[in-house]
Amino acid sequence: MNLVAMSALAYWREPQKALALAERLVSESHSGEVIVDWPSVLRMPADSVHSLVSLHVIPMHRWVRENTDGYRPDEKAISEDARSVPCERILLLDATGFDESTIIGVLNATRMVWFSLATWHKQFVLVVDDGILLPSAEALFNAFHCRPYILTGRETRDMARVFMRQTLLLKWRILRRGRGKLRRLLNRILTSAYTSEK
Amino acid sequence: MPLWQLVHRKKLSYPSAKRLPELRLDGIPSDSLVLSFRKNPEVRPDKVLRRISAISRIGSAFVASDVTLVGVESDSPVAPILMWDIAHALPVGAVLRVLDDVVDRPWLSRSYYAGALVPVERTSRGVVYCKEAPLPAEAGDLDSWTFGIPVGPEDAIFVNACVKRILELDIPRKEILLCGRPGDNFLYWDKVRIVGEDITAPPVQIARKKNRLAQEASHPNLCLLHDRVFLPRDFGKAVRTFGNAFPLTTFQSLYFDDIFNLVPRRYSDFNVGNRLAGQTIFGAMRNGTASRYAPAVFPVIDATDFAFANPHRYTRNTYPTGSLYIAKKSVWLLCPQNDSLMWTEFEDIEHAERAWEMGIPSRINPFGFSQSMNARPLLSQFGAVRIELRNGSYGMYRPFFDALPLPRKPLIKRTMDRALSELATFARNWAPNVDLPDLSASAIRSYDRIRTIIRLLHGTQLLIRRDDVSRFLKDFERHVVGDQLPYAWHEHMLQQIREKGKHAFHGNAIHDGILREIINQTGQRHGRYVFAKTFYDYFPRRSKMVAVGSLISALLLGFQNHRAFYFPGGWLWRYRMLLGTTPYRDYADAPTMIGKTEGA
Repeated sequence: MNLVAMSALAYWREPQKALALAERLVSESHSGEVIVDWPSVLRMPADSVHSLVSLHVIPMHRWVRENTDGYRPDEKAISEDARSVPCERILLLDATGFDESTIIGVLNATRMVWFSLATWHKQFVLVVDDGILLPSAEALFNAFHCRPYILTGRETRDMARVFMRQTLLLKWRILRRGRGKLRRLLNRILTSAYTSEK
Repeated sequence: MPLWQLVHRKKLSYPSAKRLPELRLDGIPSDSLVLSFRKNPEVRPDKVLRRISAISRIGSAFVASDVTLVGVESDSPVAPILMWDIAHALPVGAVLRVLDDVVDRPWLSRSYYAGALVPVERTSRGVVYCKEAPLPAEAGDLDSWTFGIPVGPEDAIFVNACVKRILELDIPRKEILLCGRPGDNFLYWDKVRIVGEDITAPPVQIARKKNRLAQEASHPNLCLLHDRVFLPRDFGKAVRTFGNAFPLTTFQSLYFDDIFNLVPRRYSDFNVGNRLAGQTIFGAMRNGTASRYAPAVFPVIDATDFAFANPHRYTRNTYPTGSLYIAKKSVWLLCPQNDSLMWTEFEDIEHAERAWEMGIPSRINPFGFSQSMNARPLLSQFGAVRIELRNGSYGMYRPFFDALPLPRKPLIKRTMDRALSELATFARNWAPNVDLPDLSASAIRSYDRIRTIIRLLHGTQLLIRRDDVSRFLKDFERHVVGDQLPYAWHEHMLQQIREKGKHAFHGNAIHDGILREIINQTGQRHGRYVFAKTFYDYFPRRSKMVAVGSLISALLLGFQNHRAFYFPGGWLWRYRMLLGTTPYRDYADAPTMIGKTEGA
């Protein structure tokens, strides 16, 4: 599933151009993770258009419930939409107006629903306010993809050392138990209380 | 009326006569031999059979044609074993009365006994059976054996050692069957018969292979063993001492983690899963039938409690772990393993439980020990193993010298070259963006291996979709861990990744989730070699050090008698047993002198 984080400004002002840009970027990227921002859409030629027919738009208020703490993801609604929207269509989640934490919560719930779907949709587009485009894009990509994180040599070494130390501590815990047994055993021998059952 | 009283071995915490109802002797014919755990205050028993446990064979103690068991099945958890022995020891035409039992399904009414033990009278106190025909396990003597080994096409070094030892055994008539074709370096083509080449792998259809071996066997006694099992030199003596008409039987098994025979572990012989009886979920087997051991239920079964069974105890969920079965061909064919289950799919547990349902118990032959030539680190926790104690509770057993820096055998049955290529495959498939400058070092020392694994896990690239994550986890256990991990771990990791995404195996989360088994492996070889240079590393050379190590182990194992193991003899018996089961390096080499043995 290609993941597109799209600026709300671009989507609401030039939806066909924004989608055309997303299509082009997705086809050229290896990872299928794309950000469509407003300045890039502005630079698109005038004849770049994308049909809106294949689009299935879901306003995010369908996927949340409001309670006293704020918004909470509605897993049932997400699950129904995940199963009812045909996979060949582009699924567009319009999160315009929602804050970052609500969007992250919804994306986490979305991952859990999509996790067990056998076939994923062709494209998932998240439309968010321009001010939170980058953090929301990160949350979107991390929700569906496990992305590589390259450790430095020092980080690797430190983590490996912690790992080896923890392993040794665990082993000592069991050994200590063993030492107790040995002590009891020696006591039994020294006090001649040890009698082997025949 | 001859009265024999049975008394449980004291430390088993099984009921003694004081805690049992009074023995009623009214209505029992005067010439009938009465056996009971109960006591009658007015009648003194003619004989007391003490220390009754699951290793007792009371069938050989008497010759009688009229036997009465009073309350035996109600009073003793080891009754299935005792009743098996008694039913087989009786001559055809004998009468067996089973009285005063309060059980739902009497043991002798089960299908195994149906053709031979016919109920002739039912009274308010019990059932009277007449033995009208010999039971299936009475077929044949103990001089003819078929040894069956399921094998695969990999390196045949362990099969060579296993077959060479079988050729040495003190058995007058024997045949060796291999199910499948061993690797090209197999040495004894003229001594074995190969069957079941049509059985495909992977997945390893181990149950189907064992069933095929049983079908093809030409002798009445079967010994089905995996190619890692090294039988005792005095196998013939052990089975003759134990006696004929045995049910599903196995030997206790040892594995020495070091090359001087100083660190003995109990290894995969006879297990108990006490909580299994409470597992009531059914799923669909591959052949469509409903079962408690269906693939969908594996994680649930995995999460129940397993331990090495105490040889003295018996429950319905005590089972041989599948690496060594000593059974009658007739019994195996009555209750074969389930063909639709593969290797590590609890086929051994399902088989033993089905056998129990039929009336065939599983037990240990204590007169022989086998040694394992290699071991899966998964089956021990930092070198310690969980054991069932005599009183039914659980404890840990750690070898005395486990903490000493002795030269060890390889931890994982994989050569360094292969380990490297497996790691590289994993990196190629799941972490293509990660540079691995020190990959070559990661097959040598634990620390370098851990560094590479941590780097690979952080660099992993995958879709968080069930199928992809499942494939990733399978690749991880195959290419990185080098062992098949529990189904419960697989399910746990699936749920963790579903809930937390990449955070399930990045950063500190690696310590308690995905690397659980790597922690165990590292704990067993901290700062030492994990993989084998060659598989010869598993075979100690004949040396004085091995003899001294065996002597020390024989002395120290005395403290584990009745606890982690049961030894029928003293330190000298143990010393001879250890030397007689050690797979020396010459067993893996080309044959030089096999002595007066008879081939297949």
